[in-house]
Amino acid sequence: MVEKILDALNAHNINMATGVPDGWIVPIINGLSNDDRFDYIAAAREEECFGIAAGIAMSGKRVLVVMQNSGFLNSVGAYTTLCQKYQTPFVCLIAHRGGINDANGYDPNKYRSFEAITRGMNLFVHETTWETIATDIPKAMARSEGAGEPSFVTLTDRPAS
Amino acid sequence: MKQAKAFEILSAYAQSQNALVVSDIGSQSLWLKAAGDRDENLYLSGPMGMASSVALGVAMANKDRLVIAACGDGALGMNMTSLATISHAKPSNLIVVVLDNGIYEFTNSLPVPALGVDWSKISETYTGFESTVDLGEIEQLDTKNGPHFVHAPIEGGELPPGPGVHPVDVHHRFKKLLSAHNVKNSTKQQC
Repeated sequence: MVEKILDALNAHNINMATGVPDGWIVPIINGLSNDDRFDYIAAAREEECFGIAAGIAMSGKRVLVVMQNSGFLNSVGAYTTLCQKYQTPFVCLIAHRGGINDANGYDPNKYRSFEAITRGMNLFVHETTWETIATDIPKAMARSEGAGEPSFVTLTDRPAS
Repeated sequence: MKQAKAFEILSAYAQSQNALVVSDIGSQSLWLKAAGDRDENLYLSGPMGMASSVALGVAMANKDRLVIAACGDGALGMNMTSLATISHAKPSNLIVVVLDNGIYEFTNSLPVPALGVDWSKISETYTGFESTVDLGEIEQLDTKNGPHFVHAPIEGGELPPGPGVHPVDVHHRFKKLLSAHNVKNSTKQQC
């Protein structure tokens, strides 16, 4: 499954990525980190990811950002005054935690806040699945470049074991 | 040293190296522009502290170009984790410069919390940095083997001249410059 995602990214010249780990997206981060076709920049904090991605995008390269929904909540200021203001295109893959697929009521407030804030900001958010992610990220990148703004793609479940 | 003079030195160095420069919001972007407006300058107008992160992205995307991050001490103090990230990523083509006046110049010159940071010892703590030097020694850096950190102590109390450049214009002229550079390099390789 991860190989299919990486092949799709490579086929669409998305060869740079940055992120902060979430448990659900560890397979993707490991894949990006261990594959010579990609430069993965491990950031210490999610806000940095938006800076790194903006620098890559303004250099004319394609970049994927990966983080948990709470990471976006940490970074709203940087997102608005950098990525929106400079109209930087990239795709942000979000592990959208706290929904019905998280056991034991894990962090429902992250889920609720991400939903409320992205709707309130009128951001483009597309819910994907592990089965469709390989085609959804390239489509989201094309949409992002056309619109001159980042596109968000969310996963609401862990990868199948 | 006045901040205007520090940016004259930095801008002259950047031009001599054909370097790309990413500058923080406020004093850094406006003084950099005053020292010499170039398409290679990526002026940030928000948020504070992102120059080091944006410069890391630019450096990773342009490994054949020297990249300089021009950061205020108040701004970099807001994004100290970026030094950990850079230390780990180790981009050999990146120089991080901190313009250190101990105050938020645009905020009534209030003192910055980064007064508690010894900028001259960054590479001792963030061990991925190859060296830490003062601005006067910048020309001695081995630009093929970074990242490096440069400490530029400056005087406070003088606001820069305005206005800046619109963010979307900054983005598009920077991207256009690099696209032309990449096409030129690609053509060279084909020949």
